[in-house]
Amino acid sequence: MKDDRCAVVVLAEILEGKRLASSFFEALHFAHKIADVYGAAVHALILGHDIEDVAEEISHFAVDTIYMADNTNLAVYHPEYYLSAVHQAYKTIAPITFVMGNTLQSIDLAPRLAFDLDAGLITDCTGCQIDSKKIIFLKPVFSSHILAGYTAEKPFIVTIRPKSFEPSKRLEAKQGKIEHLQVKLEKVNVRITATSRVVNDHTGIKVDDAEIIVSGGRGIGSAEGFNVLADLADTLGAAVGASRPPIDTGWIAADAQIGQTGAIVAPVVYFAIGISGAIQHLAGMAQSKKIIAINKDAEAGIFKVADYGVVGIYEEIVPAITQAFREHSKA
Amino acid sequence: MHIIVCIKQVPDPGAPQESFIINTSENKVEFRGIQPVLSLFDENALEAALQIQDLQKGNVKISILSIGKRISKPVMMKALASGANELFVVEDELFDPVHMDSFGTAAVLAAAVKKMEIYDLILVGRQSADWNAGQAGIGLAARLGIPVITLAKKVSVSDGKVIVERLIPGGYEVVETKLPAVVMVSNEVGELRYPTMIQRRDAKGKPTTSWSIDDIDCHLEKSRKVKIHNLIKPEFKHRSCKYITGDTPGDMGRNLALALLQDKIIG
Repeated sequence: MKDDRCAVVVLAEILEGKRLASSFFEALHFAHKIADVYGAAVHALILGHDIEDVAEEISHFAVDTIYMADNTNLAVYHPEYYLSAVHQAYKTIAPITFVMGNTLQSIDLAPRLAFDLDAGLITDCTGCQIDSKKIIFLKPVFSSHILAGYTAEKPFIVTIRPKSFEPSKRLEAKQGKIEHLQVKLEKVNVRITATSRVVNDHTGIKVDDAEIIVSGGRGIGSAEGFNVLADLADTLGAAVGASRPPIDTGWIAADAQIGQTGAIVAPVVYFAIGISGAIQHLAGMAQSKKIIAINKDAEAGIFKVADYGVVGIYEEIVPAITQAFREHSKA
Repeated sequence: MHIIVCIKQVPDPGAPQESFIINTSENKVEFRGIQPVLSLFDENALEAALQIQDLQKGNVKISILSIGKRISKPVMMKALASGANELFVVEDELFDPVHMDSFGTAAVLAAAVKKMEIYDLILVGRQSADWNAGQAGIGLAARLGIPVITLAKKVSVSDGKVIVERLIPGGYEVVETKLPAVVMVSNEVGELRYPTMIQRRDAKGKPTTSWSIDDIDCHLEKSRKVKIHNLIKPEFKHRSCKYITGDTPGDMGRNLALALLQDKIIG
């Protein structure tokens, strides 16, 4: 029996109030690496409202206890309620560390938690080195030209970059036990009020979650051009991404942006179409497993980081790829 | 209304990899032949302040605050030329990641802000383009005891409140809080406007205050919560590009799909 005072807690993010974010499975994998160094137990913490189903699902993964804080004020992410709930969980569980995905939610929550608990925070971690009893967290800095290795005093918080760690596998048998965590939120000093939400109807796959990404750059030329990419993405079950110029010109919504100022991704397959290969974009996708470049300029820098290259006009090449994959899936 | 924009100079993030050199004995990064520039998101924070100034006409004063080891004059002049009114810099040899983590940065910024005239709104970038920690704005607000809103794609001010469109998965939410507050700005706000020749010339005459760490009553704690243990040049996966050809673009596309299926990359 492991000592509960020596615990690593994965903060599981719930999307649309019901679905586990894919970052959870990767964070869980990483949490076990940390737990092995400290001889610690691995727990999950979920916050939300009516989330028993999510807790049940987590019980099929390698966790000891699933701490579930169920409260109407936690139904959607709110910085002050969530901070208070995690603070109360910290008092109960007293973990060595919280691990979470480097998602939009964590970009807000993790630093709040760090300053609240007076704990060190390493954001956007992509790997680690284990040195006897010490764990060194690796994080890309300076446009990914350098990897910085950090050590942290206990307690600390780590956020991990999407797709940097293998996801933990689901187990047939249930493993974790669910424990209700009573959180008191009546006295939270709420200073931030949300007045409305605008969520795109586009229910397609998001770049953070995708195994395959079909990305376009300045070379796509128009919003209509992105429809050609969307057809390929639909066929492959992929997300549509973009470098910065198409975002700035409004050809595609901002949440598609990949690069230093957008999402940083590492999918299994990355199509870079009409993308020149500027360092700001490469910083966001260079860790992809396979990169396929399509560009009419044979000298484009993107070919230097590509595994497959096609030199030519995307308007005719991409529909032919889409067609070939459609025929293949029918066959 | 007084807006403070915190900005940082960073080595040009677009510089080639060879220009970033690791000094292993001192555990720091050195830069060869790279010009300092304004950190990307800090430019967006400044633009957000200028957008508020546009709407409120003459009633908004924008002060720029920058802390660093040796702050580049041309970089600060560019920020002033874009329309800010006044510049404050705090320089010290200890202001580097070897001596200071995000808690240190927040402490120095908070001490400097307290020394400046009373403020309504503080804007910062969502993270720096060098160390990408993304913590200073939240730490600053914590130190000052005021609310902070992150991931802003649009910022406006009305009736003593700041109203922010902030990014959430698949869209945005509109949130507000009473001033004074800190807002961390994302690139969706828009690129920093380009100054005119006249603005560039006038920037040189704008008031500038330079402080040391002693001037702002700040004592850096020796203990750091996170420490840089080592620095590594990442080994990029060696890739050799397999070019797919064909008689027509259509053939090229088909051949690519076939190659990806055959190599079990997809399917």
